[in-house]
Amino acid sequence: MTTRARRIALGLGLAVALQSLALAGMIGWRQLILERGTEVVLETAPVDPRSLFQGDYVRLAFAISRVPATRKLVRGKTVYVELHRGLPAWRFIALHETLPEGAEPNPDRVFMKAQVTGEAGVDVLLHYGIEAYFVPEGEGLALERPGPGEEVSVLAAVDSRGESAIKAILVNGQPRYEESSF
Amino acid sequence: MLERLYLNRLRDDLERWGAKGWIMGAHQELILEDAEIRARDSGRGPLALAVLGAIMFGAGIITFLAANWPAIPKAAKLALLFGGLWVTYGAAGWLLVRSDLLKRGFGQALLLLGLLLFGACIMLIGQIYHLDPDLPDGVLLWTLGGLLLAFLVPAEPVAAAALLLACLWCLLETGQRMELNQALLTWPFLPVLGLLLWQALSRRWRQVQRLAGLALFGWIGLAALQWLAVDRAEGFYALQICLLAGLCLFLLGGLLEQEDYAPAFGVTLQRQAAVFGLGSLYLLGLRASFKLDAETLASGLPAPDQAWFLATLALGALALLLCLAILLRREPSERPASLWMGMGLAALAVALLIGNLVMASRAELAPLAYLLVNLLLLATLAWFIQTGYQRQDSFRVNLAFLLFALWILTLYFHAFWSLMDRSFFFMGGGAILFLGGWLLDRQRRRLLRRPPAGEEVL
Repeated sequence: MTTRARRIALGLGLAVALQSLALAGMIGWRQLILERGTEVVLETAPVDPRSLFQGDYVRLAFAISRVPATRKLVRGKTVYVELHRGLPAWRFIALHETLPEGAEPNPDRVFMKAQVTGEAGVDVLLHYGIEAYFVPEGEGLALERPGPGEEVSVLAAVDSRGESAIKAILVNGQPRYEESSF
Repeated sequence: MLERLYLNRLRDDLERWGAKGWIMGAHQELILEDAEIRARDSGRGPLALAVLGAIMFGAGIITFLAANWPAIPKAAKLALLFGGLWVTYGAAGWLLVRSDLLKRGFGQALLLLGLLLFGACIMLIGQIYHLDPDLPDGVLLWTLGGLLLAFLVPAEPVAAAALLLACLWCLLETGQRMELNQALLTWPFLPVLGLLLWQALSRRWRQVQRLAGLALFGWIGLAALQWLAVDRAEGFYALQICLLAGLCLFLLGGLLEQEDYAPAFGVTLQRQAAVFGLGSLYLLGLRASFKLDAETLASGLPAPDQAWFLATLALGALALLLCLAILLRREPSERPASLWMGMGLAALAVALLIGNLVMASRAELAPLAYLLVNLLLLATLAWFIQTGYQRQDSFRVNLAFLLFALWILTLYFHAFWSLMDRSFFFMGGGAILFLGGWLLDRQRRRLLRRPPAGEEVL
């Protein structure tokens, strides 16, 4: 192999390895949340847009997308929403500006990480990073406009750092779409 | 086919020049033979098609997989993504190490496809795990992947793609910041641009140099928009900063144009800087910029704060240093009168803009400052026309004439909008535009047709 060929092979090999590591990192980060996080049920209010390169997806909004705040918060600030187990969905308890000490999730309490996106009166608007769910083409509308008596909610996993990921979309408490492991 | 058209045109031109006695018969043959060899060996046609094919193939893969995704199990999806990526890069590597130039060209096209597939992987993994599709973070990761590839396996198409991705990321990030009401300037764009430009300069990649020049001005334009969107008083002093930045970049472009590693970037930089700088100077010369009262011409501008003073002085000093560098770079015999005139204008501009920090907000001095800015604009346009003619640079001449026409139109509006009946105003304006445009265009074409005097200028 000539020097030039060796240089190209090494450079390309390194580039491919680093790109593959980055992709594996994306997968590993989300898979860990799904497998180790505490499961929480969230009430939703879906809307149906379409991403050109990624197919049909449902835009989700949660009951906890708008919560009361005790003081004005800057847009873009990271906050933590404390949720306690309730039926049929988990309930908002308090908004924290930092992750509280000793905040290991237990089966009945979690802290969900969110970003402040705006304000509405005394409430703040929050973005959790789980506001999109990709569904088979043409099926987003059924979730956007559920039939009479149907209620859509989300089963999410929340880890100890407050990161969350969607595990399933529930209709009347039963899984309609579920994330599988490998 | 394009090569064939060019050769036919060249043959006709050579015959015409030979008939005029500009070149000898033997030289015509040599020129034609050299052009034919280059056309035959360039492989640019097949390579361009290969690059286009790579882009289309990549787009096709993305849309096909996205439409049929739900039916495939998760593990199979991931295997497809990684497998496709590794096979493409593997094939690219195999072709790149060949000695045949055309195979290397196809290897570069496959490398570009690999980068597109990397982006597809990011988006599809995002879909698998339901990541928010609006975030610019995915595009940032894609950009960094492109940057890495451009450095480790140098290929111009990949570097150009990485630069375009960086611009896309900058736009998306700016959009997100606007929604969150945060500061709009995406500073991290500059080091990414700097790295790709450095690669393009060291490897003499002209297309990437041109793209980098355009990208730089796109970013500066975003910065200027942010400043000018704030309170109008700040807008005046921000325009002065834009003008000084344009001047510095114009001078820098002039320096780089003379270097053999950066002529394409230097020319692009100069042209974009000329548009940016002259545009800023034109806007600065408007009565509205000075907030001058239509009757009394008293200024409504508040005095500038310290930050504007410091920024103006710093950029002014940089502009003067660049002028000095340009002069020192040339032998005394290579400093024509037009170069000295250009340096003089630059120095005058710096002095005037610093003076404006004091004059523009004072009622008794603001009209004088307004007049001086407009005189500077006219002098600069005249210099652009003269040097454009000397260099046979139609871009300079056209830009200067366009701005001159715009300036005349603005004066007409200022002078007659409130004095004339509306219908006469528009009829008169239309007649001036028609006649003035015809006269200016005639003069512009005459200037561009005449051979230059042989001077080299900035």
